Amino acid sequence: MFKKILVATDASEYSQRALKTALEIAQKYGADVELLFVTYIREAYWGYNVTYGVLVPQEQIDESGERALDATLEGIEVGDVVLKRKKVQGYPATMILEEVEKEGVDLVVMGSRGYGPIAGSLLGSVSQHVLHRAECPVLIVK
Amino acid sequence: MFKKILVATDASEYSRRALQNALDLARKFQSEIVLLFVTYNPEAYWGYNSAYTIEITREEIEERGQLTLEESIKGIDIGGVPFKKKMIQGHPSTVIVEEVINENIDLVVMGSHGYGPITGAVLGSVSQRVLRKATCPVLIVK
Repeated sequence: MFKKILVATDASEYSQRALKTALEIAQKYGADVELLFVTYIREAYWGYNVTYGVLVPQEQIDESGERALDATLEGIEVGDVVLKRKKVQGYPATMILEEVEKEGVDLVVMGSRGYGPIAGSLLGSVSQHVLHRAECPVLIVK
Repeated sequence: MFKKILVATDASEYSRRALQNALDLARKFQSEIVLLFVTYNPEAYWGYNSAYTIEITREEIEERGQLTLEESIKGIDIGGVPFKKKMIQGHPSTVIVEEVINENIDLVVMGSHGYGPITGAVLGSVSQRVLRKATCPVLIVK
């Protein structure tokens, strides 16, 4: 049923729990896991072409993405699960949904809260958005 | 990891898909399933004692509950999975969240939409509330 599981991370503790859950499910199903970090770019939301208004140099985006992915994986046993790391830039919910479609993801696992302006709110806005729009099942980990 | 899975049903197509997903997970994780139908009782939400304002007889409620539970399972193979059907009267999301604690549930599986006043809304109001308040992971099936 689940062949490809996407975990969207913001390197928060919630994301780490989401990753752990995803890995356990992946082990049972023999599924691949993709760990995705989206560098938030405000312009992407409004549909501006990013090249016109670059605020963050590419190297910095790459670096912060790597750091977020490393932080999410820290102390987590991946075992024999095939894990792919990926970082993209844009508006998080949109990028996650695009990735679901592009990669043929069957399950998205996300934390219930995250960092960002809504940290501590009832349900992260990115999770909300993905939950509403994704075509595959979404697992929200507390 | 998932020893006990709760599936909240309203017998809609979404609930049936949720049940199928839950059964698949249960087979992989050797879990037990509790299929729950909550008979909506508006008074329960406001904390009135329903004894004062009974409009539906107890038999009617039970009959409707049985029908809903049967409809939810119809044509679905539950073979090999420990399975319990449950019917409770009250405010759906409140009852579901309570059941998670009472029954020591590790995972809730629900459909993204349901019947009720908000059919066709982006995400069912019951699922929304359960997502926010449940203490365990919640899988929303599309």
